Order: sequence, then structure tokens, then C-alpha cells
Amino acid sequence: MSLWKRACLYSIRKKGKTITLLAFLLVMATMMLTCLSIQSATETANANIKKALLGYFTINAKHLESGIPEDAVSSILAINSLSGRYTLRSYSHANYYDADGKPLEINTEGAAQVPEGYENAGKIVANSNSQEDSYFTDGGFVLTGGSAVTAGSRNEVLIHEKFAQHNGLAVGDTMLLGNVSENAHTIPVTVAGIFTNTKEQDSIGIAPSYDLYDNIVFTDLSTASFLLYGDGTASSQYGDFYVNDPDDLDRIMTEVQRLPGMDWESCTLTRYDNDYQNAKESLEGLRNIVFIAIAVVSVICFLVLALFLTLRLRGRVHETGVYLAMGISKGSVLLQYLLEVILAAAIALLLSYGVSSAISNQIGSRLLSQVTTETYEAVDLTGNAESGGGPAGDLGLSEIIVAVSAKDYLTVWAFGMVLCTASTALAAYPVMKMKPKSILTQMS
Amino acid sequence: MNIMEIQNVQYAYDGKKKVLKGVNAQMEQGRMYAILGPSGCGKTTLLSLLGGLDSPTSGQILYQGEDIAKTGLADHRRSHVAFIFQSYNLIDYLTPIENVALTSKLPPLPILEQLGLTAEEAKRNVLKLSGGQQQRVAIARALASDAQVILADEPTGNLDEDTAAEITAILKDSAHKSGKCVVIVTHSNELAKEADVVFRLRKGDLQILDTSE
Repeated sequence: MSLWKRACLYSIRKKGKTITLLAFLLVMATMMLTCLSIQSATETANANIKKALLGYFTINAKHLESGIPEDAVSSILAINSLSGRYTLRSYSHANYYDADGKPLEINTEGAAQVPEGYENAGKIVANSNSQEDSYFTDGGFVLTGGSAVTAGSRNEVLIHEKFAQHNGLAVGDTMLLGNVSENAHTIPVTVAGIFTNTKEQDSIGIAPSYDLYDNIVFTDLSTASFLLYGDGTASSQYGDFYVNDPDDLDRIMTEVQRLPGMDWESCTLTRYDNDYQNAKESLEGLRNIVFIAIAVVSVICFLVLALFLTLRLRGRVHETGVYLAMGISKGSVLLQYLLEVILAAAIALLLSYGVSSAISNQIGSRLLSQVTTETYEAVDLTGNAESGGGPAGDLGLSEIIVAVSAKDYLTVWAFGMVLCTASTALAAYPVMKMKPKSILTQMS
Repeated sequence: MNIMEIQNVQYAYDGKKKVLKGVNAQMEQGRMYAILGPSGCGKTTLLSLLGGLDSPTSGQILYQGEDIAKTGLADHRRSHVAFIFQSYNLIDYLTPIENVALTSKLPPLPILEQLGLTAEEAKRNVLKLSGGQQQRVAIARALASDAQVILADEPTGNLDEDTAAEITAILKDSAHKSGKCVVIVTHSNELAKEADVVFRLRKGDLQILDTSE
């Protein structure tokens, strides 16, 4: 009779023992699978937070005239793990004129004051990529027509929808930007796009007229440089560099500080990942709990299963002795016992999928919901220039479903089989190391 | 021809307490041997050594002239010998048919029927059979294994007089009609009387007794 048949017959005929083992293995598999499912959901939550709350660092040139050197930008972009997203920007002011040189009207409603000499002026935000500017990335500004300012743009501007309507400007029209201190110095620019703000400005009533959203104009760096200094050399005061993984920020910033040719006397380096760190801290708690739970469940499962099987095999010393007396090898007897456990484990693992799916969804969703609330509280979702530029209000946590994945299920299968093998070997060792005669003596 | 030979076998528990002190004996096919002796004299130990369940401290056990320690004890147990125990030692979750099938490639039912079990009894759980029926199953398992040597340890110890007589007859037939070498360890003089050769184990020494004794 083959060991397969012996194992099957034992499992079928010793129903009570098989069902007890099955129930025990089902509880273990369900616990393990539930923990792994919650862990996977936590990992997904962490990944979503990384995507939503981008980490970046900013280089600020203390003196605008020196700016951030172009070769420094190239060197920084060559560093591993940078996302490739970056923007160089500088701020200045300009008078606005139509193509014929007549002053354009700015909005003064809501302004704390209209400074002298700034009656037709606004804030110029020069940018290598307007779409990556925090005015846009924090969700406040959106492009309603035309195209963004990019590194290749020359003499192009983005103007506010209200400013455009008020002055009869449209995409493709020409206007002039004039130096606020030298009225004679102007530069013609083309309206490449029109934007609007989706959030009300917080500083209404306290901001000067040129800082009102309606009066802001985005342009390219060379235009701003030409406007200020009379030459087209693109000069930037700030550089924002985004990273793929906010956890890499420390390493990357250290590499940036070691770059040759950077004068850190005239530049500062600042990290922006507070929101990510706050959100991460909330998730870390759950991750640690789940990790500890997995470790504890693993150890307890192994010990309890080994104890359970030890007691079970102790009751089968007689049977072992008979098999050995009949010339059946120890290996074959051990494999039979292992197979009995594996048969029960296979059924338990199949059942655990359904049980764990229900449980992990209930428990996991509750835990994640709690963590999500903590995370949203920890993160400033109103969004601001220092919030990492992530889309406010959505960290991608609400869409996470705690479910049993194929990967987790396979992991539990593999773990279950290893656990069964190790526990059976441990439980059978005292019996298997005995001589057949010793076993039979013990029997009698 | 001797199928089994015991050559100057010594055995000591834990290397200290010597129970067999240079035992010699020869056993032939077609004969039934009984080993008598007081409790604790080493009868079961000697049977274990013959069956390859243990190894002697010194000396040799030969099967068909070959040292079983060299040919392999597990192989010896699997191919050459079959055990019958006082407590039957059947596997309790198997039927008589399945117990016999553990070692046999032959259909078990005819063997069981030959030993007096009905087809219905042969399919019951072994624990639902009487002691005599269980011992018949144990004998059927030994006979079905096709082993040439049957080693029986107090095979009638748990049985009533009539059943013991029946079992003795079956063992005797196994030797005389099936040509097996049957070695029985027993306290029973009644059973020993049926043996062709009776050994007495005393103070570690094995002596042949007159069967009329």
C-alpha cells in the first residue's frame, strides 16, 4: 500500500483528528493571510502617499543677478532617483502695455494698496515649466486655454482669465512687458495661454495690487532676464527638483551638496517633504503593528503546530513501530505523516481565501480608515507652496481596498507548506531517531 | 538447509546488562521453533535480533548464509521476516483487508478467508473484531508478506484456550504446509509442545530441549 493511500485513509478515517488539525490550520492561514493583506494595503497606501505628496528640494540663489548656474542644474538632474520633474523660477514685477504701448488695466479690487509706480504692474513669475510651478501643482491655478510656458518658450506669457477679459486679450495676441524702474525698457510678448484660479486668494485685503492673482503673469526665464537686465540669458532664483521617492531625499540632497562648482555661500538648499513625513508617520504605526502581528503569528503558529503534531505523533508511536517492523522505511513513514498534514493544510488554505477575504476587508478597512483619518489630519490638505506641491485633498487612500492578493495567497501557501514540513519534522524527530526495537518496547 | 543461523550472539542493554551471552542456533524452513524462558531472560530481544529490529552487541545473525547487518536490517525486515505480536499490532484505522495489503501485493481477501474471516468481517474496522480474529488478521498479514521467516512474540498470550489452539494450528500449518520457518517466543508449554524444536533461554544461553519435556 502506497504512503499516499495510507495518508488518505488516515485523514478520512480519523475524522475528529483531521477536522481538529484542519480547523487549527484554517485559523492560522486566515490570520496570516489577513495580516499580509493589511500589510499589502498599507504598502499601497504608502506608495499612493508618495505619489500624492511629492518630495522635493529647492535651491535658492541669494542674489538674483548670479542666479543658479546652468551647469549646476544639469549636474543635479544627472543624480539617480530624481524624477526628472523640475522647475526653475524667479520673481520680479513688470508694467503691462498693449501692443501699441498703451497701459493695460490691472485689477485693484481687494488690494491693500496700489503702490506708486505699480498702477499698471503685476507680479512676473518666470518659469522653466509653468505646469510644475507650485501655483499650478497645488491645485490653485489651472490653464483654461492655450499652452504652458516651457523651457523652449521665448517671449511668451500666461495671463489671468479676468485680466484677459478686462483688456480684450486672447491667446495669440501681443502685449508688452515693461521694466518698472525703467519705463522705456519694454519687451513684446505673445499670450500663449490663459489661466484661472480655482481657489480664492487668502491674502485678499492685505496683498498689494501687483500680488493679486488676477495681475500675475507667467513667462519664460529668458524674457524675465531680458526685462530685468537687457539680455536673454535665462537666470533663475529658485530651482525646485522633485524626487521619485521622498525617502531618498536625504541621500539626494547630500549628493547635491557634494557637487563640484556649487557655491553654497550664495545658495541655500531646503527640503520640502513635511506632509509626506507626517503622513508616513501615521502609516508607520499600522505597518509596525502588522509587522509585529505577522512575526508573532508566525512564531506562535510554528510552536503550536509543532506541539499539536508532537502530541499527535506521540499517540502514533505504536503505528510507527508496526510500520518499521514491517520494513517500511522511516522516510516513508515520515512522508506519510507529512502528507496527512499537507492534505489538511491544502484544504485549510483553500478555505482561508474566502474567510480571510471577508475578515481582512472588515478589519483592514477599519484600521486603514482610522489611519487615513489620522493621515489627513497630519497633512495640510489645503495645499500651499511648501506642501510638496501634491494635489490637495486626495492622497489616494480612499480608493484602497483591503483584499487578498494572489501574491499574498501564494506567500501563505509557501509559508504554510514550510511550516507544516518543519513542524512535522520537529514533532517526528524524537520517534524517528529511536530504533524499531525501542519503539516496540515502548509499545509493549 | 538453514534459513537462519545465530552465531555467537551477545547482547547487553546499554552495553552493561548482558542478556545474551554467546547464543548459537540454526533454523530451517518448514519447521516451527519455540523459545521458552522466564520473563526478562531476553526472549523478545532474541526475536528482535532475528527480525532485524536491533543489532547484537557481538556475533552475527545470518539469513541464507548472509549477515543481515551487512545486507541491511530494513531490507531484512521488508523482505525476509514477518512479525506477529501478542497485542496483534494492527493499524487501527485500516480494515483487515487494508492491514494485510500493507505488505502484500496479493489479493488479501482469499488469505483472510483461508484463515476463517468472512468477506464482511474483512471489511470491518479491525478494532471491531474479536481478539482471535485480530490475531488471524495479524497472521494473514505475516503470511501475505511472502516472508520466509515468521517471528511470533506470544501470539496466543491474549487468547482463550480454544482460539489459542486454532492459532497454534494455523502457525503450525504455515510451517509444515507453506514451508515457512516459524519462530515463536512463548511462556505457554501447550504451544511449545506443538513446536518441532523447543529452545530454552536461561541465563543468556540458548539450549535445545527435548520436545517431550
